[in-house]
Amino acid sequence: MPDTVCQQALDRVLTYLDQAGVALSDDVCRRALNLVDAALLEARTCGGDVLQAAMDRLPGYFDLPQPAAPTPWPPLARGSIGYRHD
Amino acid sequence: MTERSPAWRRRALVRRWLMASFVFGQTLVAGYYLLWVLPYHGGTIVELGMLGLFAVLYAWIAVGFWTAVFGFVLRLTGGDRQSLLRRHPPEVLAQTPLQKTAVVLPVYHEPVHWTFSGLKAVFRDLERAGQLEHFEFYILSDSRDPEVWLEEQAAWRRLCRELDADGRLFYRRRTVNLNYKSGNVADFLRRWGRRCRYMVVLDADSLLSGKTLVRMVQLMEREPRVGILQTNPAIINGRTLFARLQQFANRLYSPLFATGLAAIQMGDAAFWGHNAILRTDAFMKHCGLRKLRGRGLFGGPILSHDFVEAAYMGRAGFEVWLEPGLSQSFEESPPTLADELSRDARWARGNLQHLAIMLFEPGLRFAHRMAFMNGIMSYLASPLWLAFLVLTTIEAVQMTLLPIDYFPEGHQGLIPLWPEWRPEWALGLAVSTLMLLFLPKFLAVADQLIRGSARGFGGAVRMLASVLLEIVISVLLAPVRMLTHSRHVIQALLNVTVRWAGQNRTGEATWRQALVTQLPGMVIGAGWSAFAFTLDPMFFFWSLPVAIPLVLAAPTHVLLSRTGPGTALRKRRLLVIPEEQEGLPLLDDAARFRSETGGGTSLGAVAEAVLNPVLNRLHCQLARPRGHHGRCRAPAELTGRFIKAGPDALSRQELCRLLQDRDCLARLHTQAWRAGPESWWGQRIQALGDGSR
Repeated sequence: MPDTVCQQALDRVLTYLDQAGVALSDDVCRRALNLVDAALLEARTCGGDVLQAAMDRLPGYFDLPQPAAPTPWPPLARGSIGYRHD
Repeated sequence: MTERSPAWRRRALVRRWLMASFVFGQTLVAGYYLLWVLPYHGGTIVELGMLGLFAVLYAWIAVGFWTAVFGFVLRLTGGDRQSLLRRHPPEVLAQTPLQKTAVVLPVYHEPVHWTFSGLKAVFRDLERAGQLEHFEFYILSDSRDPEVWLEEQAAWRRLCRELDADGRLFYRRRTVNLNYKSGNVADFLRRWGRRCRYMVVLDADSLLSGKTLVRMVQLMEREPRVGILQTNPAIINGRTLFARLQQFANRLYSPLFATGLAAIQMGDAAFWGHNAILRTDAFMKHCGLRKLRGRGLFGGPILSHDFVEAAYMGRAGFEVWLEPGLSQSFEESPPTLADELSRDARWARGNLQHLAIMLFEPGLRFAHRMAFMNGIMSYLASPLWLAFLVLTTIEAVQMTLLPIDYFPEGHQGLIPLWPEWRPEWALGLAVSTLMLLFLPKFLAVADQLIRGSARGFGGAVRMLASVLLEIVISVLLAPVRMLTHSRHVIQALLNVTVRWAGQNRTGEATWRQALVTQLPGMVIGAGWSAFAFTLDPMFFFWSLPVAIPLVLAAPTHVLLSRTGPGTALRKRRLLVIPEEQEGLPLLDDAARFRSETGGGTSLGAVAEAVLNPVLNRLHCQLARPRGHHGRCRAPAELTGRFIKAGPDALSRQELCRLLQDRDCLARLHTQAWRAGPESWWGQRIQALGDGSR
């Protein structure tokens, strides 16, 4: 049986959450189903793509982890390079 | 620095005069022998040319020989008492407080996981030494390929997390690569040069133990006149037969050569570009590299920066020391002959460029000018040897095909010049040349036997067998290197551009590659030998030591590039080195970290940078905020093509334009996750989902 639109949207949302480091608990799955439900409704009433609608709504449904990136470089302590002038 | 000249200079002067008198005295005697060996005793232009070339080449190998003899004698008598390490008792050194030191790792298209794992091992070893707080680590990338630099950024993040090194391990990538590696280091110094008193420079394959790093800083603290302190890195991790031969030769012979070299150079030593510590303020003040103002090869940025920086440091009154007593400093050999020769193409160009600096740069110390000469001769010796062979062939042709000339050009008078042949003198000359080449190897064997450390090389018998094997292979490789280096020198002088790229640190050579690269040499070797046979059987036999290795170049090449023979010999404890038998936490760590998986996915670094929310966020933070008000400034056509057909639809420059821009990266992430299931990105996301379930 080919994947339905809602199944594709749910897969996409869950994959994103997994990649973002969210543990896929029962609660998370329930919220993902609610999100897809809302996206389907929006697509039916306003037209548009279910996948896109689901991804657009995702930040409103989940607090995505925002791991801090390491400090790439320390504060500047500038030096100048000396060139001999003959 | 205007202080009184240090005491070591007088001793260095004596040692150098001694060395020069041995080298030139021996060369004079050998030249005299050659004159009597030549049929007209130097009475023709060809013979004079042969004499001149012979003298230069003989003196060149005599320098190597006497350096090894110096090293042997010094090691026999307990080491050089003038060396930096011997000046300070270990307990005094151990009590010397450390100063903040930057460990910098410039990289350019290196294997990311492998290189960073080495740095991780160094970091861990410093942690074990309990001195991590005094060191900062900087990965300085010049990589241009987004697949590589995005992987570097992701690996740096992982490394920071694994080592809990946030704020101690930094990453900086230049987007404008000016002046190669020295430009990369200069860029670092311009930004953070005043943060650290010292800077330790690593190569991608460098490993330095925590103990050695600490000792280096302590020595620099004790010796404020020293601007650069260079260790003598041992080659390790050889897997192919070629790399194992290089590794064995380096580990066994290098202590003699390095001890001798350090004793002669003393505070006028060279900098080899890595595995060394530099006094940052002195380096910044005095070692700026201006572009050369000459033409062709002798114009533009300096290619081989390290020797020049050492010379500039010396000119400013600072000392540069090679300290062979600083052990636990390691690097790796190129895995195959092709890789070595490819690296040599760059080095030959860089060293020949030093000719302009050696001759015309004002104020340099004489010893540093000689160091330039040494580097230049490393490659120039090959075309000189080739020219000597050509003149020898011309001489043989003249003797065989032309009537005897009793009154050659330049010979005046009524008495004819009788051609003479003195085979016993020729034999003496050949034996003396062979002695210069091979005796140091047996001195190295004697050195290990006297010290009772032959066990580390597989025991006395296996060590000797390994040396004999190494000699056979080095005889097979010498003519191949000679021909290739001659080509490199000609290309450099004609200013033919050489590609600047990272080394291959893993691959094996194929038969096709070997045949393509070695065919010209094989044809020259066979043709020359056949010609010699038609001239004179004696000349034919004389040509064989050069011709046979050339004819066998392709099989030699392939055999040496294989890991199988290297492993088989190791199992028989041939070509082994002490580090392989005894182990060292630093090396064990490096091997273990490198064998672990890198942490990336099969997506590739670019696709992962776009799809993975965590990595996309990281790359966005590291990218430049180019647009205004969150607008990606790349043309919509570019992002459209990227989203429609994936990264392969864009050139490297186009990809860089998108992926170096913070707003574009964020937009690509949003668009890719909204792409339809059948699209390029949709399929990648599907694969990600399948992989995680």
